[in-house]
Amino acid sequence: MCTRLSRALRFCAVGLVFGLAGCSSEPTGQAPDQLLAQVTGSLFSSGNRETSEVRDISELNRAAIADVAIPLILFELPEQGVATTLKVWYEDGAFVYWRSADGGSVIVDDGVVFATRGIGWDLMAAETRQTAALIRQGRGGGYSRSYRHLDGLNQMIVRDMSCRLERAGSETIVVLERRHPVIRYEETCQDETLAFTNTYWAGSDGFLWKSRQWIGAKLGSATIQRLIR
Amino acid sequence: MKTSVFPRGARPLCTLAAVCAATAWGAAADIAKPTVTRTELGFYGLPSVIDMPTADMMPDGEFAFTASTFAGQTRSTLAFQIAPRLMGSFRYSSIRNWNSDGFDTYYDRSFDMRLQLLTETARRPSITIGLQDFIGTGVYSGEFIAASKSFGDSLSITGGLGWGRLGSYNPIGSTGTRPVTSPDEVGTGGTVNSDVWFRGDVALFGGVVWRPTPNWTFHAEYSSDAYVQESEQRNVFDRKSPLNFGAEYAVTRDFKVGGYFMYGSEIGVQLQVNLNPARPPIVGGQEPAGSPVYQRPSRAEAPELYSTAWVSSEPTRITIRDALADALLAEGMEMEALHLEANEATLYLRNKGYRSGAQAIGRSLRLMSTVMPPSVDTFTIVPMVTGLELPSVTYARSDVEKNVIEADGAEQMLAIAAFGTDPVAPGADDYAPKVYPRFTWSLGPYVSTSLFDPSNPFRMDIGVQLTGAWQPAPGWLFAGTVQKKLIGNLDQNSTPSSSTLPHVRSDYTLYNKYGDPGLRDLYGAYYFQGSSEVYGRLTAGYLERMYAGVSGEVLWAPFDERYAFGAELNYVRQRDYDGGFGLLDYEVATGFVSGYWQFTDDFFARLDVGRYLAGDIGATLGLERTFANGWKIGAFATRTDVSAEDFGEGSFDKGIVMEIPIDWFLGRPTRVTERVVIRPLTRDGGARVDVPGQLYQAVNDSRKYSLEEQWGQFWR
Repeated sequence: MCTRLSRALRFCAVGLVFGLAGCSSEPTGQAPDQLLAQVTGSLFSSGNRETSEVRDISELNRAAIADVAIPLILFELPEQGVATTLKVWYEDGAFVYWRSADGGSVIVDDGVVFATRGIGWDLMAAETRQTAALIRQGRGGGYSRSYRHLDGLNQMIVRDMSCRLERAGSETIVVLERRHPVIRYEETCQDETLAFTNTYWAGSDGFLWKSRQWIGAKLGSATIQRLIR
Repeated sequence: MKTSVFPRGARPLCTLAAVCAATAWGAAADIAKPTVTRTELGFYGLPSVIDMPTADMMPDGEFAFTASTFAGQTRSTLAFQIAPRLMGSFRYSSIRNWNSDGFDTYYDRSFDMRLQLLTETARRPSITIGLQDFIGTGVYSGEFIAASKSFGDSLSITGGLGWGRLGSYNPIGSTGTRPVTSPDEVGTGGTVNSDVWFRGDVALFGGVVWRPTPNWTFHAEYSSDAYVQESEQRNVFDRKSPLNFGAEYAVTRDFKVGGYFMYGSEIGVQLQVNLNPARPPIVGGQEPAGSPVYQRPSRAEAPELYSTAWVSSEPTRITIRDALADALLAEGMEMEALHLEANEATLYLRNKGYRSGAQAIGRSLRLMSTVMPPSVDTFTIVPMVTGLELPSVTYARSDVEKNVIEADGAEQMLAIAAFGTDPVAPGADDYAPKVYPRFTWSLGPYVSTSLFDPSNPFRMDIGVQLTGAWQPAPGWLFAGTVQKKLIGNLDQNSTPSSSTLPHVRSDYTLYNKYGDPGLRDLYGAYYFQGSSEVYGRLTAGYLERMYAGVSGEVLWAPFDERYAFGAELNYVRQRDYDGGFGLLDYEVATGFVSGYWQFTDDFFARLDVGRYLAGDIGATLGLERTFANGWKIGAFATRTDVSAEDFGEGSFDKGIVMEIPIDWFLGRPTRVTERVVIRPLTRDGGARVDVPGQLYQAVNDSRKYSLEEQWGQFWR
């Protein structure tokens, strides 16, 4: 105990001199001193999260995932330069929690995005059931869809969008070198200040191979591709 | 349709005169928000053409720090948009070559207020009334009414009438006689100079701002400030012309630089940094996603899972407890205790990680769902602070399972939350291991500053501090901190206190000089409660750098209300200057009754009435603008039976407080908050002992309105 403490103190002293960082026995890592260096770091960083995953994604091809035997999706936010693969974290019926290696998560309901976490400016929750049901049934329709986000004060903002889903025709898409015959659905949504279009490419069984879905005003739209079913 | 989910609270009736006045201003300023907001700030750090005011308001909640200088006159201003149509500022300025009143360089502190009376429409200009330097020594004292009108986005024109300084050049008339604040009677300041407002000579001023590109603005104005003292009486500079010209460049939205040609003879420069609590530099929510909720198979599908046999197995109970404790710790929270029964579980939670109490509750519920046997139908969470049980919340597990995947799940969880204010204390067997007794320590840097001393307005020490804390049992805390300076110049202020009152604070120069290394505090505290609305504290020891003694406090903080009442009684003795265990002769009984009131979602008031350290009797009123993400900025003032003359410079104790949530800079949650108190002067009247661990701060976050304010983060 004594040696451990003294070694820790020596480490702290070095940290204090060079980085103004402190250290503590606080198990949650929430001592004020421990946060100081992080604050300083954040003030001098360029702002948004690192997107080092992108480099790996550019080398992504079918051969690279040939020996992956579990379901896998590729999640991209083109406007943010974010691209990452996600694995299944938990399945609850039609709801699937996907998670990336760095703790980000996307929750989908039959492929329709319900929420995102760990990205920043996340989609807190969106209504999914009518969109998912119409795609399953292979038909169009009109409905309202609410989206929830947090603002800069961390207060929840609800957008009630008025939406219409239409079956836009059959085509063949390529998802990472694999061709899939699909039906394309276009979902147009609008309120007084905003309009966007979501696109879903579903197999004949309603399975979503690819989609482009609005996440929020700050993040823009996400492209989600199912690499391994 | 874009709406906020958790509605803004109703404004209760006003009962307290000063708060009422502020509320009325706040309310008046809320009726219609400004149609145009700008952050083009001038030499006084408030919306201006250059040296002359405009009628513009900044965006609500905006802070702006400006430093501007011309002709040896440097003004540093912190401006704040208190409400959409109300702004205030604090300024520290220096004028070189003042050469009288015993000053070579003259330093001055001043406060301004502005209220926008009319917002701009297509046909009419916005109109703003302003008071400049209305509480200080009056060197910059002036009042104005200004009108500003935009013509498209790129051009706006301002004209106005000025009094005082702003009515000193080429007056067009006069409204009564303005009492003279002659240069030889630069007073002790601190009194509100209301007898001079809008009196005396009145002059016209005006200007134009042109914005050809988003980054560049060009400014030209006709100034009604004759700079009588600076130009005619003291030769600080030669005012040759009433015309000023300038150009400003916005490097980023929040950082601007400007260059100016002033009064026909001088070059001026300005820097401006803006900040708004609603506009974090780093987007929040970057913490790893919270756990999914484990969805139990129904009892009909898997009846065997619902067995309650586990309850009688001690190893199973320990496994459950340890698994939950580990999972909580991984998300920045700690289990203090866990009470398990066949059908219900109560988690005693230390939320060390999340500013939003709702987020901590939501994350804990999700983790409980992954660990608790299916027979456990009911989850209760009791937030804990220093052994105090704060108001609890109880949910049916099935509601957690259902609402985590509902679009309106957060709202539903608020609607069905069963809050409790009579939590049962954990049983002796319920405590998590290594929670009591526990010793913790931390070693880190500290920074200590001294502002506004005329011989050096900014002094600072940087050093290290070592803190240790021992919690032997629930409610008991023994803690101490030692500090060692590494570098700094606080000890160079050797001005002795000339106060005629007992030197209860004004000997700070002696503490700075002789107190290194020093024992900052060393005390024992015991926290107790009647319910989760009535709390108590007893503290004894070396309470702070200057005082040792005993302190007792009680607080009534009803869960459903936005107010709280408390009382504190202290008997303290002044500590020796050397930071050791020695004591001086001065001792005093000091205490207060306190009222706390979050009277709207945006404004908080606190009133303390009692006996202060110098034995003076009086009251402190504090008003704060509060933001849902933890930012606070406010001002306080103390009046006691000490006369302005005995108090000395400043006349009474006053200052500005800011609370800065550190998570705002990180994009990830933490409860750490930096509290900054800026006093123009440290004197002996209206001074209070700084007792560690006061109750209101500790328990307020778990009250209903606090939880509701951040409830949107429940499933974050």
